[in-house]
Amino acid sequence: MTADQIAALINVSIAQLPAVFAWIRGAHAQAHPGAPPPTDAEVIAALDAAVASSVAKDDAWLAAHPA
Amino acid sequence: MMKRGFSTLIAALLVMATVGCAKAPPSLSPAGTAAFHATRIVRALDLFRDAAISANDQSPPLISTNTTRQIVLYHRSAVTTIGAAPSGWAPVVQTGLAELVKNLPAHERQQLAPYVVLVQTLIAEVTRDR
Repeated sequence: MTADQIAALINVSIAQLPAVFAWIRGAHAQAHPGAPPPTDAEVIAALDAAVASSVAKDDAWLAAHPA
Repeated sequence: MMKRGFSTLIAALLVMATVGCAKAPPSLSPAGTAAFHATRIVRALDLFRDAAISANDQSPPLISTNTTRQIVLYHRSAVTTIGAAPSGWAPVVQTGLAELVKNLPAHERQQLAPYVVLVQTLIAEVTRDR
């Protein structure tokens, strides 16, 4: 794996952080009913971030393994 | 190889124990609930794709690069569909997964079966709860 590919994967991991935090917040809210539940905007943003980071990893793998 | 396989197993168990059992917060609107469940499916599809990539990375590869490419392309298409239509993705994603699995070589299909079942189970749960 080249340095560029490793850098791309690290970028993907960093891009996933908002989705991970939103998921942890959601799980915490369910375990602690007193905490404010996630809003629609937060959940939709988490989906958008998850899709973007997921597609980025696909593209990185496809670029590294051309047909 | 054992270590990586063990890590994958732990990851699968974690996802099943957390993502697989999550209920949408009741405060969410229908659109928010759809996005919540759609995110769970994206995570399960990620696990499926990551397992294929890890298996392809082994020496010798447990899954061919051609099969891994098919899985990555399916994953990209499925995740893009989910992002574009958080409420109406299920038939397309289910049909695509069934078609993908049907065309895999038997030994590769067997290796990926737990991840395919995970995705199918989650999709069934999410579509049932709507």
